[in-house]
Amino acid sequence: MTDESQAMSGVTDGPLLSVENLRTTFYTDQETIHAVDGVSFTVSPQQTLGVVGESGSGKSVTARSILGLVDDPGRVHPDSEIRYHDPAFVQTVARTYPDRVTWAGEKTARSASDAFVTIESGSGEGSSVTVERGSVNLVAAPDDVTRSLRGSEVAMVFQDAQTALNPVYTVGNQIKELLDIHQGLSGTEATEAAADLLESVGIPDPKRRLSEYPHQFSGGMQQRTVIALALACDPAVLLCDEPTTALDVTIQAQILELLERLQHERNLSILFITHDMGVIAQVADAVAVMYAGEVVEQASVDRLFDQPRHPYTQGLLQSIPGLASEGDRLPTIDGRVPTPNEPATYCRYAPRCPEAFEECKSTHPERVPVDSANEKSGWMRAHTAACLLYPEDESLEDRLQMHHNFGAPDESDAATTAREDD
Amino acid sequence: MSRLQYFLKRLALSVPVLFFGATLTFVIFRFGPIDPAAAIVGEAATEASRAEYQRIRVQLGLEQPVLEHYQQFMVDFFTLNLGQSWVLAPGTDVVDLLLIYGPRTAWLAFWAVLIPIFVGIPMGVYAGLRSNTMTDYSLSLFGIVWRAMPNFWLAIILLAVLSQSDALIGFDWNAFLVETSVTGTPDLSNITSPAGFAAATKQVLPAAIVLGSASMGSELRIARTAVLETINSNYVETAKANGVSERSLVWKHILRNSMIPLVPTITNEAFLLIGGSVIVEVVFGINGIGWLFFQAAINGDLPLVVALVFVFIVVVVIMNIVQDLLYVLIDPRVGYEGR
Repeated sequence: MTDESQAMSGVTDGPLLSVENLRTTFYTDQETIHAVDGVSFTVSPQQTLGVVGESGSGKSVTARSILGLVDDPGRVHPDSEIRYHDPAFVQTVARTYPDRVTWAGEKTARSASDAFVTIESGSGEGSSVTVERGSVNLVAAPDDVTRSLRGSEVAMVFQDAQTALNPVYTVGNQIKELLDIHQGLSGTEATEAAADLLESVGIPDPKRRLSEYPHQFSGGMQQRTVIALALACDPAVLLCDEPTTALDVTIQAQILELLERLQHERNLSILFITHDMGVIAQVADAVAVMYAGEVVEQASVDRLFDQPRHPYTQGLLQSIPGLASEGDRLPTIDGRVPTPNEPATYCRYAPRCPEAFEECKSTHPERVPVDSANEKSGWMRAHTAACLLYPEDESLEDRLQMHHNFGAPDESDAATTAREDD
Repeated sequence: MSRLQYFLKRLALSVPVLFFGATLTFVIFRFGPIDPAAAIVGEAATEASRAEYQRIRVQLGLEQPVLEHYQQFMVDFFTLNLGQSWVLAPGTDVVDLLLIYGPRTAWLAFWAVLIPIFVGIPMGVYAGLRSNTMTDYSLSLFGIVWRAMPNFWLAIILLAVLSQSDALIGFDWNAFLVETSVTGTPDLSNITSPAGFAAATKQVLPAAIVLGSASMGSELRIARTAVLETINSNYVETAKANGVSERSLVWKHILRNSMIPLVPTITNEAFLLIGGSVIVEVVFGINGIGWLFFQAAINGDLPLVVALVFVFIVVVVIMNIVQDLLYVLIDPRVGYEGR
């Protein structure tokens, strides 16, 4: 217990969840689809990261990859990293798998070759290790670890609430099942807790509602129930996969307010997936814009809306009714999102990009700071875009060279080290 | 409450079905191509037999005006006064015949329904949970083979193999566990004793396997499909994402939802048993209702045939009610028409 609280107090300003070069590929008989192709982002404690993109840009697959829910024929590339940084969780896992722990900065005796637990600071050894800072790589971790993460650490709120609830069990039954699994509550205690949960997500007369079936709920109440289900797990991170898409605007606003309130009450970190820029503006602290399986621009929400840099983001923002004032026709982005069915050796947005030039067809843009002033600032203020136009204060030749070096897998390490040395 | 209302509504609806079915049997009896009395008397050549023919027509009510006869016929059936056999067992009440022959068929049908449920469905569920693996393919193939084998063929093959099992597969079926023969009517008189139960079960087992073979195949395949469909549904993914264990996913969330399409399959297959039991009972020499019906039909015992048809109708209606009851128990959405 003391160990646990000690571990808890070790929460620092690092990320809670980080995704590094996530690649999820679907192998079918006809083609290979790179649904998520080198996505990186971080979710900070008690912050909301908005992931925005059109249908088919790989948003949902990203969320499913985090929880290990990608089914055949999809596979998460083994070099991808999905790291969860909660010290208490890392400590539990490190104690369960003492021979698969590696100590950061200490590459010799104590690290294992198939390690998936990284301890940055801590003390002790083997099954009595204490972790103050560290992370678990969920891609390399055994299924048991991913399973123990589901719900209790990272819970998911799905898009279609009507089908996300089991139709043949009462709402109370489904909530109490999760309360039993994650909080060990049963009997009247669980009923009380379940009613409290329903009340906290704004469902009136919760006692009676517990004994009702999902089909007796309205659409908004079903979505609230799905959120209550996720909260019953008492998670630290909530993955919200388009939770408001199926709802009308007034209900949508209520659900967004509810999520905001719950985030403050329960100290939740949220990964919010949506295709709606308006929703992003309302809920997110930081935004990652996805296009055809890649993150094309990432910035804090204010920066992204004030100074969108990637042509795709600019196009998206211009096509919001009301934001574009001139003319009587709404600007649109012509064409549609391509299916990423080949490795990216070019810019996937180039065919639709108004600013595309010759090199866009042959050079794959990497995520770089939009200007050199941005390079050294903290993560929350960092503004990156995957476009050959940036960093904009470099010459075209330098930019091309930079993107080229990043893209080449052999040289990428050397390039990063060189830059860090500067 | 709406579930109870739904069930009561279904129950009430079965009355007109029963009524219509009984009317149809009356039409067959009165206006059908076979004159029931002629079939009973045979060639009406002599004066005496012609008088006999007339007497039987009166007794069967065929000389009454149609409406009067119809009314009497319906009242008799709905008060379970099913008349008598005239040819097979002259003068015996149909109800008495049912009491003798019925339990044997019920015993056969019991096993013919249970075997598919307890063999076919678990196999189908297992195949569905491991879809597109070698296990799945072999189980599915197994299901198709059982589904495809016709009863009459399978019955004869099984009969041939089991009656010579000693010579063919080096295993004596007749002496296995309890002494029985492959064919013949099960002895249900001491079914409560373990030995009697085993003997009666073993006696009908080959027939029950044949009778249930097709059902087993289709229930296996439907169970597989239903499980596959449920596995891919959003609520299973939600439960999984929220950390519900694999075992609870299968036993709680997947199975009950898969049962919804399975219920009508099971009851529909059970209807088929009524028709199938005729062939299987004849091949295996089990003197049950199917056998009785077959004998009555080829001997022109029309009063008995009509009574048995009515009994079959009643059985089908009861099965439908059981199906509705199961629906109401499994699926809370039944009878719900929105607010």
